[in-house]
Amino acid sequence: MSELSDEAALALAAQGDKKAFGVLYERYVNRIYNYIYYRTGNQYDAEDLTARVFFRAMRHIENYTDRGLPLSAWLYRIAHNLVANWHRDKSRRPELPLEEILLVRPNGDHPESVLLQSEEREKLLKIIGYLPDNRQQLLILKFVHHLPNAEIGQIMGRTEGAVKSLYHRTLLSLRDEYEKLEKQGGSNDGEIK
Amino acid sequence: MNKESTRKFNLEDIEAILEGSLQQVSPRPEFVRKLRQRLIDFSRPTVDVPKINSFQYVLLALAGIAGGALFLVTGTRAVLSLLGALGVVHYLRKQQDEQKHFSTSGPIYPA
Repeated sequence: MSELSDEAALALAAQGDKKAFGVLYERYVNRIYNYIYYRTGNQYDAEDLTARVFFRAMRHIENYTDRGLPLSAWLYRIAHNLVANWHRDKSRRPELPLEEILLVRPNGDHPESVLLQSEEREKLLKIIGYLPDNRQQLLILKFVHHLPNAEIGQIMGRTEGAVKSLYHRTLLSLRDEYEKLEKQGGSNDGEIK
Repeated sequence: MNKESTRKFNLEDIEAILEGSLQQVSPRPEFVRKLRQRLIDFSRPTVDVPKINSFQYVLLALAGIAGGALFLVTGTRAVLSLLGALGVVHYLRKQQDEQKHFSTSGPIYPA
């Protein structure tokens, strides 16, 4: 069952095969969790929203029509919408609580080594928290999931060229804000356009 | 001003920091396992409609017709009663008016 391609598993899942859906779940749960984790900044909301993504996917899998988009794009789209609703409900800008992100490491770094994480990293994460949604999404897909621009484009509904352009502009604004933050001595309360 | 604040970064530096900062995190294995179980156990809510045989259909139709007829008859009777009641009221008022007219007009022939 686990050797099934996405398409085959999807076809079976659409007919109500729960094991096939389980295969898709195993394949994508980490990616969706990571995406939501970096967008919400905390483990509890990430778990709650990840669960909602897969329940929603399961309810609507019969209606999923293959339009040449990978299944991941559909799942990310669901996750993106749920995260947007979450931010709307919270009525606040998305922020990345640095403490948690730096403390929760996949390779289980020792707390002392966590404390020694570079100051640069903390500053940059702080700036990322103020970026618009689409730029945060791009950075997560590129650096956390290591997806190619073409796939990021499919997920974000943009062309590959548009993704490259957005990425370049994002890096420029990150650099500018980073330098500005360094000059100011570490406080940034503004929203980055 | 410290040395760091005058530092200039190129885009490769920013990319390198991003590479080091945005790393994969792992969801709790317990969460992944429990969610999988919930998804497997999840079943769509369905409504079981009991099958109705032809005799029940006929019975249901007759009951519907009888109910409709009863409703029609009751409605008609109600309307007729209402009209009748209005007619009686009108008649009584007319009589009252006539009585008033005769009592206030005085004797026809003076004494």
